Amino acid sequence: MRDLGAIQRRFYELVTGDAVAIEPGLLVGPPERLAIYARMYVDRLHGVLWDDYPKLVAVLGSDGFRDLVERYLRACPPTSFTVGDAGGALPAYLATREDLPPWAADLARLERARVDVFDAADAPVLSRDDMATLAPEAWVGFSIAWVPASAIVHVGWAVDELWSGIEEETPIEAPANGARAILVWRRALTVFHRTLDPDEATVAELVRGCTIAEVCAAIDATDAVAPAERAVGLLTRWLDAEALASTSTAS
Amino acid sequence: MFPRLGFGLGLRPKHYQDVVSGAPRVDWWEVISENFMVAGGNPRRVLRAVRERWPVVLHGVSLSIGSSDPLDEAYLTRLATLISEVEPAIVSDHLCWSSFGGHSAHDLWPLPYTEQSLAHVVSRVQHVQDRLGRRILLENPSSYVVFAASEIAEAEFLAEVARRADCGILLDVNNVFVSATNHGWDARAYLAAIPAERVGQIHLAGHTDHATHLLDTHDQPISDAVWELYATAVARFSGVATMIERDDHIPPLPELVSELDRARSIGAPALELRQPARAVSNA
Repeated sequence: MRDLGAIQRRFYELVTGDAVAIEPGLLVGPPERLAIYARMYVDRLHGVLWDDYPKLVAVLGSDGFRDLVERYLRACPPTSFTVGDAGGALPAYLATREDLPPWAADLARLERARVDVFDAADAPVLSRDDMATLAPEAWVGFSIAWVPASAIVHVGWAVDELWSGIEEETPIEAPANGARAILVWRRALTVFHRTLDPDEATVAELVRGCTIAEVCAAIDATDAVAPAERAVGLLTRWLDAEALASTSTAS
Repeated sequence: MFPRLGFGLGLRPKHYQDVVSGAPRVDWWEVISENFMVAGGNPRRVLRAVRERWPVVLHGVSLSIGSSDPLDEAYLTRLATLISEVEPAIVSDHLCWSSFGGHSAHDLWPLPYTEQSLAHVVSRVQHVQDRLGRRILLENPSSYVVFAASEIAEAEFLAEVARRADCGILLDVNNVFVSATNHGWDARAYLAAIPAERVGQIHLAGHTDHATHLLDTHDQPISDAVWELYATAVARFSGVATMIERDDHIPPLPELVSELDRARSIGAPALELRQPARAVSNA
């Protein structure tokens, strides 16, 4: 075998596990050396995923997680030049695994969002002081968005509570079933997440360049007893969390 | 001529705080390019802070210069952006391949050293250098297998790539030792086959002895045998920017600085005695 592409195809198949027989004429020297590459391929990516999904590791255990990674790499080999992206498809892959807990994909979705938010772009944060400098007539037309380092994760299980339980080293129990939206955001160098209140989750989807007037209108459309107070309460909560950026250009 | 940077270390997250807030006895820092091809967050903040005080070198692991896959133009665009922001003293990657069929292995796989591979790598290096507007360095890999198709010695292959593509060489002394041991090559003959004027940087690192083979692990101090080979290397490539790579079992920064001092003690006298290197024209 002399062609570069043919040699690389065979080497790739052997190292990533799609082939087992090393034909004569491919290598000189001990053929078992090829196993070094096969082991390093899995070990390196296993290490990356181990760091990205620590709570999933806690749930599945070391052996279970290793088995998951080996199967995942066969089903979803990395396509990005960034090794940090190698685990990006793990939540979707977990959703196809009927032999694993049905909430495992949601837990992975939350962990993945935390990883992505950690590396997301920096941006100036909107503060209470910024809002205080606004002229009263400018409030309604002032537009806001979540900081780029944020995500809203929709899950079907209380995996945020499971996440906290593992963090606090309490015994692992299956999370409760129930849809919820989790806001993930970064403040300075720390990533946070919090389950949104149901009305807050509805409004949160608008916070991608909407005006404050639109936020108020959305709250008004919910069952809030005091919509104006609720709107101010949510805005204050988001400002204090340093989760908002201004998308308005006017001062 | 490549910049004479002195003695550097690989910048690793464990040391970020010590580096940014301290004044370690390090002349320059090497960073893994791909780790900083992110939009923001802590890595970019640290890189900006470090670059304000030291020269920085970009060392890539995903160029996959030897792959039969097309070059990843999106990768090159991101790398060019990073280069424009960081203004690195040196940009390097590996003489290897790490992707096939659109899949990335995130490992450094060896090439069959054939005339076909040589022409393939040379044309791709030329494309990359044109794209980036600067010369790159290619590092000799550590390897555990040799392809039966290989018809050119690795050192001669690397030297010929550098000559034909007008690129530089990042000489990893530990990799020379590891591969030479694993394949029964003569490490000193390897060094002798490398054109001195093409060497722009030297790597030092530790490896693990598995009895049947050496593994390039970067997880322990540099072995005495590699220090001896480094002494041979600096006699031939004196004055070349030298750094230590440590990627696992990373000790406190002062420990690595002490290890770097050993490199200084070997390399600096050679630097003082060195005659001016023959300049290589810019691409």
